[in-house]
Amino acid sequence: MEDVLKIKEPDDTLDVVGESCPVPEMMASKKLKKMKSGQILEVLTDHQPAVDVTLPSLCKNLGYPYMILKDGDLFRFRILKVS
Amino acid sequence: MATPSMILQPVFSETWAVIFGLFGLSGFILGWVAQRGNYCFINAMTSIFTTKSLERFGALLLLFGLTALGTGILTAFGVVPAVDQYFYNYFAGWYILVGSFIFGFGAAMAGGCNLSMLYRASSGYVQNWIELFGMMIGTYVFAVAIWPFQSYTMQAGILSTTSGGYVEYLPYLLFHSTSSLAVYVTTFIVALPLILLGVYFQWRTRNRWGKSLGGSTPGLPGIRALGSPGIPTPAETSSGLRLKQDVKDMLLLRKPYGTNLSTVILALDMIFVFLVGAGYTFNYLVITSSDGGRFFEYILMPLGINLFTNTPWFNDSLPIVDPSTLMVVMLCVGAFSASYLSGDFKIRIPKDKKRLVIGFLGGMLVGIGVRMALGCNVGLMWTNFGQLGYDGYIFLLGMLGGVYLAVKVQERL
Repeated sequence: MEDVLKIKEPDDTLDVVGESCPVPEMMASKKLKKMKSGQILEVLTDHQPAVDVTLPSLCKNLGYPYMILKDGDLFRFRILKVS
Repeated sequence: MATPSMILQPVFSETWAVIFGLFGLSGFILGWVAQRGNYCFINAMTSIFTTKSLERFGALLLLFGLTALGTGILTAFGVVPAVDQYFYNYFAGWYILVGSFIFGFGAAMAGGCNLSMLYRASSGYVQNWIELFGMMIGTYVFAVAIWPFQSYTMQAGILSTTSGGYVEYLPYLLFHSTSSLAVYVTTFIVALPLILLGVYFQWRTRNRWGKSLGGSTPGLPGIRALGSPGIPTPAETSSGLRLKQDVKDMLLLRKPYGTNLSTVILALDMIFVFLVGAGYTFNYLVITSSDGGRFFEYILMPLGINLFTNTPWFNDSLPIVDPSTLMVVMLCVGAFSASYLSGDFKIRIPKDKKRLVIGFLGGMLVGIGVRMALGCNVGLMWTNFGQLGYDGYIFLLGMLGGVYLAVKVQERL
């Protein structure tokens, strides 16, 4: 799973830079609903609490693996949608 | 039976300078801890509907329960007179339910409740500046368009109680008494279900997380398995070391505070205000919404527009120099200090400009909603649990409804 998240290009990107909670979590949840199993969503955010708390919480509740990549001031939060 | 007193008398002999200092300190703690703990009432509620996670909502119930327990025990044991607990119970009515619904909807759309709006605005989030400005405009809209009608229904008792105070005090409602025993028993009737439900919600959510796949989170702590009691195992030893490291990281502002740690500190902060403000008519935590609304009045003053003299609601509002205003200002100072010192402060502008419009409109609804409900999620809902009233329950219900609607609307935008 980790390799897939690392290597595979994201199928969709959600740019919520400048936004605070609950927006990243709500928008990511909305995007994920429209995606298919096996696809990866990359959430771009500079909101640390979203990376520390809300997006991991979203993934844990849905049972989706995720990975966080630091890119300068930004975080790339990758979520793999699984069935 | 004698009617309960509605006269406040100073309980402690602090000077006004000390009162202002203590309220300022309380506001600073509130801003600091909320920023470090990313404490957001709205987020706690949206996650129920977006992810079915009850973890942060459980923390909110814990916050209310611990606050009620603390203030109730102080009152039951005679440290603070009962009149201080019920004096500022507002009139309950249709407007609390409708207002909290509008507030919940607006805040969830805009991206912050009254607490998170202020601490995030102080941390550089432009979205929340816009929301704050929208709230000021919303307060004015409320004052001219809604308040005259609402005020009439309150005076006439149309779907409204015509007085607050002990009339809405749960010990009085349940036992027709404000005696120590009545307060003591009611405290546990209110606090225990909230605390137990909060703990259960958190346990249930974490239990579900434990069963789920989880994720790969390089550099971030994962969910810890619970160790068995008895002889310390290497895993437990490392947990102890990790705890020490966590504490060190939190003190050095390298790591945010956990939700429950923030919950306990915030509850203690509210109890602290209740204690030190006893007898001074404002022994409740920040009234962020009315202070926020009143700032609009002060902005217009240099232009020769005096809402104070000719506009309903504004001519009833409080003067600018009072401990609660200082508390709001110090909340912002605390939040700014925490974000700046932790390196988190940054001017952040949403890339999607549509969000700024939504922030403004959501802010307007926040302003209208909180004024209709006679307070926000802090000054009315959280505070009212500490006052052993029932307005907090009404607000909670309405706010949950508004947040639910906002989540559904966001899904379609």
